[in-house]
Amino acid sequence: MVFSSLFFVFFFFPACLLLHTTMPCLTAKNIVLLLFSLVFYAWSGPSFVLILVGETFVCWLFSYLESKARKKHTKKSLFVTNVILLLGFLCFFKYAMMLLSAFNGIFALDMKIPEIVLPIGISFYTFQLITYAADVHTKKVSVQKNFFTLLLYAAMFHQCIAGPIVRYGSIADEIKKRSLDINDFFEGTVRFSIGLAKKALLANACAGVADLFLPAEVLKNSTGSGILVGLLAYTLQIYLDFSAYSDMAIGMGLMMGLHFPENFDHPYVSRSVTEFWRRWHMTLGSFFRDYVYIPLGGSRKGKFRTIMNLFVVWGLTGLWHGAHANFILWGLYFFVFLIIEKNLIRKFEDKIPSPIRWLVTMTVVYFGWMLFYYTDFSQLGVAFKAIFVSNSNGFYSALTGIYIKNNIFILLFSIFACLPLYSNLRKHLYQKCAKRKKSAPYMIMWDFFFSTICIILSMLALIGDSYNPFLYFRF
Amino acid sequence: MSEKRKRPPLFERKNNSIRLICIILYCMVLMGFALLGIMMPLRPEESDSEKRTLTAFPELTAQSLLSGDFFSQVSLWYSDTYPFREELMDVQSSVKSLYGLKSETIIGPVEKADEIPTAPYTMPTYVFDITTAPDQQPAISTESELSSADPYIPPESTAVPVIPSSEDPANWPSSEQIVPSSEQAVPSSKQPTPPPETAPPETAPPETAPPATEPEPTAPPETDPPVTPSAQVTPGEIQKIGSLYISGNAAYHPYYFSLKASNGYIETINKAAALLGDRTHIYSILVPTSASIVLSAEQQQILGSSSARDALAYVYSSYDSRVTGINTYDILMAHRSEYLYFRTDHHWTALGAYYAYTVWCNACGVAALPLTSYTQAVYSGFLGSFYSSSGKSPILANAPDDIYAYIPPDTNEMQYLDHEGNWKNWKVIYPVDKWGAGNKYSCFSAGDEPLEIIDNPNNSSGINCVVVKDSFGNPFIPFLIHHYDKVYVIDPRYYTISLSNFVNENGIKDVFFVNGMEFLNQNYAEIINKCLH
Repeated sequence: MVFSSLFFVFFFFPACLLLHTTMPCLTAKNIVLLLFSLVFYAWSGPSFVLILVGETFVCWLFSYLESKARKKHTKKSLFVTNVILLLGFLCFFKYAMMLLSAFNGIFALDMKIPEIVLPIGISFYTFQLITYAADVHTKKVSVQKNFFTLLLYAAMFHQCIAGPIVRYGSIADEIKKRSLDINDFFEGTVRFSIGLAKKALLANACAGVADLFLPAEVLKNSTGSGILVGLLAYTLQIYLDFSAYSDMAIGMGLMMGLHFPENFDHPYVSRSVTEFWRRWHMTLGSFFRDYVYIPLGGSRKGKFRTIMNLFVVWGLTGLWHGAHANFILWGLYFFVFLIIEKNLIRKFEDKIPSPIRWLVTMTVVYFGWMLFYYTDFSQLGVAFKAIFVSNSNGFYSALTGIYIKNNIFILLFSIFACLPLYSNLRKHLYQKCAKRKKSAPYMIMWDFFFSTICIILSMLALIGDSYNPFLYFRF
Repeated sequence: MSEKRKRPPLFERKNNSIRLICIILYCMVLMGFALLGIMMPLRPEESDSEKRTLTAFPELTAQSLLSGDFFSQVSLWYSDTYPFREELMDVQSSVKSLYGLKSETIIGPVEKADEIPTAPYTMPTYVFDITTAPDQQPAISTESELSSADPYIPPESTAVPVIPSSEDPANWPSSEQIVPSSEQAVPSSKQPTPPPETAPPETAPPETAPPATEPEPTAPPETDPPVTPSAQVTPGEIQKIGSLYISGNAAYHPYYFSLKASNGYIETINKAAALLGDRTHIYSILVPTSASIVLSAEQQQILGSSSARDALAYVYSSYDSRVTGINTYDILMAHRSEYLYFRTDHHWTALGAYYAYTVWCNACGVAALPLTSYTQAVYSGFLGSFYSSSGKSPILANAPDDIYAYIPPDTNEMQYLDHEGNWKNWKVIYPVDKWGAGNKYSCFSAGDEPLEIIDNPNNSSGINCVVVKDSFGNPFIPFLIHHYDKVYVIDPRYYTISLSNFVNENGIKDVFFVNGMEFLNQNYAEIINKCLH
């Protein structure tokens, strides 16, 4: 099931919220949450639930055994086995096909590549379970004796398919003890509604614009300027889409007394690539920092090792996004810019005006998405040539102009939605009221009004999504 | 634990009562939509504007459960049949019109057309089964290199007396010959269906026009046609629209020439010439799309639309010499400021068809009946295929088309064989005032039925014609009535027969192939081909 479906927004979630809110005790609330989460997950394929439950069981068992083990090396080997098994799950389902085809290519073999369907969310819950296993190993958190509690942590439907990656330590207490808070609940409704509107209204519209120019089947008709506009739409789409899911997850969590970490902090205002990655998919960045980069030695083992560690981290970051070579390249693309930034630019960074730093950063990010979009390098080449060299369609055509005009307002509005203007204004007005020790009824009413509008507009957009005229071109 | 968290001032513990009220109201909105969603009787089952049956609630089987299909179908069913879906979509299309400047709109990516060759197509040689003696072979145009024998040409001249088909009902189509139009066919039970023994219709002498014993429909159906062709969509017919261009208050589908498809069509028509050319006159009427006629050259260039003129010249010049191609392009261009095409639909109007008819009259040297001798009927509020494929564009919704139909002076009676194999009496121009906005084009010649017969009571010459057509042929048919004893109409998508036998048995002198040019790009040639034996 996806968040941006009528069934989820107007059936599944209200039902879950109603039962969760009305259950008298926490155990009952947790049971409701677990059942709904498993149903949510089963929606995409009931067999996938088995993988989720199985993986969680492995993690729970090994961590439990580790906590019982006395000898240090037994603990270590249990931990290592645990992580290898967890990564084994991920690699099998996500990367086996890619690895086999790579083997076929390198060794000129003719192995039959099995069709392995990627269970949704496996990248997210595997990483969540790794944080649990690692934190138990380093004694940052105590072991969870109840398997179902750990299962609830891994399977919680708010974040299990698109993040944020919630660390066990940050949520364990709230699973055991939480109270519903009116302020949180209200803030949750606002976050959820804005998230839904970002996805249903803006991200989907931007995707429609990107589809006019970028896909392989239209690429040969696209002009250079068309591809640039398509790429802009894709840049907007990918942020709005991804952050919308996090907004909805955080919002739904707040409505149920759970506090998930922030995942995006307006990345498109960044003035350096380093800053961009501090604002983009923050929980993934911090996962790689804390569970890969630092255990590898971080920056403590000399310049060469630091660069090697960064190389590994960025290669893996890229690979995590998908089982295609272009994603690894995309990760390493950022690695190159980060190294340049750290070693060359940092010294005179302050002397460069902010707008220029922003422009350069955004250019890097923008073309990065081009690498991200095309899993097929030949198509990437066609698009690249159309922009920088030219193709038979020229750089600009009246047709491109019409497409741009047809979507100009939604693109401009999406750019606005990527900037922190509205959220800053809102924060500022609330703070102003707080400083004067005044109540903010109008702000609250505005928030309510805005949320309701977002919900209604999103509903209309989602209804329109199923509009599928049988193009009965009956000759 | 949440109390221990550091709260930003945003969460100042004030106004809790207002927040609570807002939360309750918000939840009521969510729950309200959820409640509306489970109001089963309110859920629509069919979409008028989309011409399709909406997703049904899936059947629960072990297999569908395990594969996850059941769940995905439930999600689809939930959104696809959400109560008041049509009305909500109307609102949504207004919201969408705010996405940008919509003075000119292109929906969907444009295609790239093939180059139109300047030299005629030289067909590959093909061979019919040789079952007749060489001396019985027809003279075959050397240009088209049709060197094979044609077994279907009767040994005698074409002036073989017409065998009234009514004499042998077995000659008449059985329902097996009708291509099932769709699994989702709308049942035609809204209309009185004659008992099987009343078919075939022509049990009476040819002079008495509507011979069948079937009762005349007493009143036109309130809303829908008996068989809404557009509601019967076979999967093969679901075509991608490609791009749709909206300019002013009209939509256009650009014309993209396809060399392969055009050559396929040429081969088919030339095959028909080889099969029938010595017994009949063959007329090919290709109808340009509205984009080719109404849009300026600049607009067409922007869309990458091919030149209909060049395409028509290419196709017609490649025909066998026994085929007369009717030049629709020049006459339509000469009258392009008139109401020749619908704004909200891809078809031409009856006026456009009339102009094509005058060209045909000139080509065969008969006097065209002036338009004034027809009785004009107007059906307003038509919102056709462009309207639905534009996602219910508010621009088009605000400018629905008027259908001007011309009731033939000779007769307005006809019979047709419906998709279930039953004969029905009908009107050549059917009053569609009360039909759904999307169905009104079916007023012409009963829409797209497998087989139709119009018997002209004022003409008993025995000279009959057959029109093999797609829906572009519908408004053209009424103009032919005056010139023939009987006009037969075949829609080869739903009716597969031996055209050769049909011509022999029904005294056919003229064969018309009427098609929209944009549909040359579909598999129409193959469909006609099935009848060419």
